[in-house]
Amino acid sequence: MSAAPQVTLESSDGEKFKVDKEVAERSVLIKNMIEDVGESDNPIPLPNVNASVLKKVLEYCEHHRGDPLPAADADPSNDDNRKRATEISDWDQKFIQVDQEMLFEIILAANYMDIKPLLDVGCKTVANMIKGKTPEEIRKLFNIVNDFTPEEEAQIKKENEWAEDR
Amino acid sequence: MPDLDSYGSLSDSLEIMDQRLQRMADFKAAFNDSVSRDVVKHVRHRNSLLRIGKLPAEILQTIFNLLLFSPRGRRKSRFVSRLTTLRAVSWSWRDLIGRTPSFWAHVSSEDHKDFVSEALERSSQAPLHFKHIGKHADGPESPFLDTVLPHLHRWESVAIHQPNVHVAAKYFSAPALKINTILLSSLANGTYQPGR
Repeated sequence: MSAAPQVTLESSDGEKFKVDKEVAERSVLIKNMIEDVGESDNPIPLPNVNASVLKKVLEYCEHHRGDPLPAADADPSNDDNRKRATEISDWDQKFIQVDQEMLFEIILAANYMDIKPLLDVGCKTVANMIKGKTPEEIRKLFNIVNDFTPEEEAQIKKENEWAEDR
Repeated sequence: MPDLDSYGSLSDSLEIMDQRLQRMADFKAAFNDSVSRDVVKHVRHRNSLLRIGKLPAEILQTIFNLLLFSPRGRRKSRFVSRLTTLRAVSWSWRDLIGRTPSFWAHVSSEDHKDFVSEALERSSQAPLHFKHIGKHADGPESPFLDTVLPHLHRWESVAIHQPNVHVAAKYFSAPALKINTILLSSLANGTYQPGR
């Protein structure tokens, strides 16, 4: 039995990762690069992803290597798609339990490498962190400083009436 | 005791001093205003350097979308409250939400009328989804339906729960070319089902 074909990925800080082609191709960016350039022994450069983030992303790709690839035009009214749209699996939840800096780095890497299911997990995690919080609590969570002018503050106060008793 | 001339010159001096003080007060107010605006500008720049501030707009829009709408595209409960909360976090979030028409394209007759006006304006030409819940006591006119009627060309999903059928009939006298879903009910408390 022949070994699975492999590719080498190179992070922004020069670290090389040899992985199964099937795993690397969870990334649409890499899949397209391999298709365009053809198979080669040269490492595929990923200048926007550092080694620690790439390691984490590849952990995700390895775990999900056999999953069906998401359709670009998945119908949200389909029950399975809807379930996928709202839930994070137990493994994914555990995987994404990282500090905020790594969470945002994973989201940016998933976006750059075009790994939609990973991007979805990241976005859902951030949404869950925001859910139910007040503006002040959200600012505190993300270390955002209130940057409204007094005029904007007055407008926000007025807009709060939109949400009262409704 | 100062003589009359002295009183006269003192009066002149007070007038000059008052003018001078007023100029200083004006300068102080302008200075404070300028510093405040400069502080705001710097705080905004600082916020843009945060990890969350570096997320591309389309990713933040995806996150907000998850918070505001169900996977079927319906408004989540306390939708207006969620929207106003997100808009009150920072200038960049407020700006992004304000210029995302789809976040504003879902209105209900139960929403505050100022919100409805703002939403209709900000949703621009986005497909419109609305719910109207009428009452038995309603006359033949509906202020809410009158507000959404000029946007007939972009009605996509409509739910009208109106015990007085004459009200609903009035608003269906012209074709709504982009309509996808219509839910008409004579019950005043039906369920809104847009996006099907």
